[in-house]
Amino acid sequence: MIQVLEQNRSANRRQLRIAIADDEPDMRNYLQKILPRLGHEVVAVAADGRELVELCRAHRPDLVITDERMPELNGSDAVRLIMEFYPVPFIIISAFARPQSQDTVCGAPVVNLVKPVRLPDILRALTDMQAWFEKKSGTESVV
Amino acid sequence: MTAPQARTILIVEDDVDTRANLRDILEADGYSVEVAGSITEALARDSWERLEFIILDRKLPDGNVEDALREMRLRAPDASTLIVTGYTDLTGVITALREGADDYLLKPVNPELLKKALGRLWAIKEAQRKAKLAARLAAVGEMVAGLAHESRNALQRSQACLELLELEIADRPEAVDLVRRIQKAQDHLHRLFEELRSYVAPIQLDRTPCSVSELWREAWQLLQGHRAGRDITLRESGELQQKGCCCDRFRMVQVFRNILENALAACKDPVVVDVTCGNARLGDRDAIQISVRDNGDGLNSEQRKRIFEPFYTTKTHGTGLGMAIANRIVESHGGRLFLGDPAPRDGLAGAEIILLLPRDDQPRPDSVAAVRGV
Repeated sequence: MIQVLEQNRSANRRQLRIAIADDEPDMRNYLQKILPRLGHEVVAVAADGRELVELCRAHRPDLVITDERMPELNGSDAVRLIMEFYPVPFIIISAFARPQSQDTVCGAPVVNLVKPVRLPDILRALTDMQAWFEKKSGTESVV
Repeated sequence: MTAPQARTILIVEDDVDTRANLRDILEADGYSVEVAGSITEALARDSWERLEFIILDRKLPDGNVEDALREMRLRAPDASTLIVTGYTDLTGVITALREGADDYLLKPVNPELLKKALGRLWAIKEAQRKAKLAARLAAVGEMVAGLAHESRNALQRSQACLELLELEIADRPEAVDLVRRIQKAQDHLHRLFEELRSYVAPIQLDRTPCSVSELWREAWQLLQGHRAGRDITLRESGELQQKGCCCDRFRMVQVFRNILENALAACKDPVVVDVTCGNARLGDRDAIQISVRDNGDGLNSEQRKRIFEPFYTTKTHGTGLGMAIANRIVESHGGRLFLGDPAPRDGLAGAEIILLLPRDDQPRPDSVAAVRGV
């Protein structure tokens, strides 16, 4: 654990502003504590999909990490609503037995992780996201 | 597949000659036969649950069969009943059938017709048993799939807290060690749930043409960790280069892995595992037969009977699902998995697992659909 965190810190990648959503307090607490230690900033914490949409509208995070099954509005429906006002990459954590896969919605990557996820899974997904941001800003600066 | 145990038949017949005659016919056919001369005598016996068939003379000295049928069916609900009666007794036959008799035969009993009737009743019983088991498995399966799914949420919360805890106590090595032990136990629980789920979930095959020797060699490769530091020989014989089997590579490697892993666990060093490959028939189709035998002590009768049962294990850390999953995968390929002859072969006295796979050069229509993810 400690080694994983230290290795990541030394990698010195781009810092992301992240919104998190989960109806389980344990998971919100975990992400709130672990993400800053990975060098990122948690800018919004939601307990359901509806709240997540509102917080994204207000804070425009770089990345959203959300649970799939939540009251009010589930994770993938929230993704669809948020994508309507700006394309934002997603990490969706769900208990469904679909394989870990990566899709793109409105040009932004959507990574599906299957529970129980562990720190290295999150780290891998974050690294992919950072790579996407770097590639994107590279393309933009060339243009 | 092990030889079926002798099926037990109760004959209730007052005529001594007929009784002896029936007994001879049935014993010659491998049945275990018990007899009674009257209803009273029949009802006085015990261990009804062992009976597969009851053959009843319609007219007995102490009453008509329909008087006793209800009671006998209560005592031996799984036994099939066959009524023996005369030509003129249509009313009696109808009454007996209404009371739950499964079939009837006319006197004098023709041995061939009797055997045919018993064979037919046995087939019905088998089909009913299978249907009952399938229905029970489906219900259990649905429940287990739900449970495994829900467990992921609980395991996720536990995982999150464990990781945070490990960070909190990073400066206390003993406490960190405890957390890692909990993590290990949790990983085991997770694996158990996932194996259960994969056992009950529907199997969708992604078939490609393979050579069977590639499959077991790949499985052998995957077992490197189990083989490290041991004295193990893999002996291969037969027609190893043959192609012509169209299967889901990943799943069939899993089948061989489970079989070979069992062989390694069952043997003391030096281990010899023999894989022999040849041609065979499976129903009306050409098939490839692969036999895996080891030099362990072999299986005892309990193990032979239960090896493909889910949750049956002789290992301390096994889930008991390995062979059950293997069997399911092989059957979904239209193949068969069964035990070979317990007698030693080529100097090896260990267990022999035989796998029959239909010969197939092209993916069949079902597999095309699976590849497309339909």
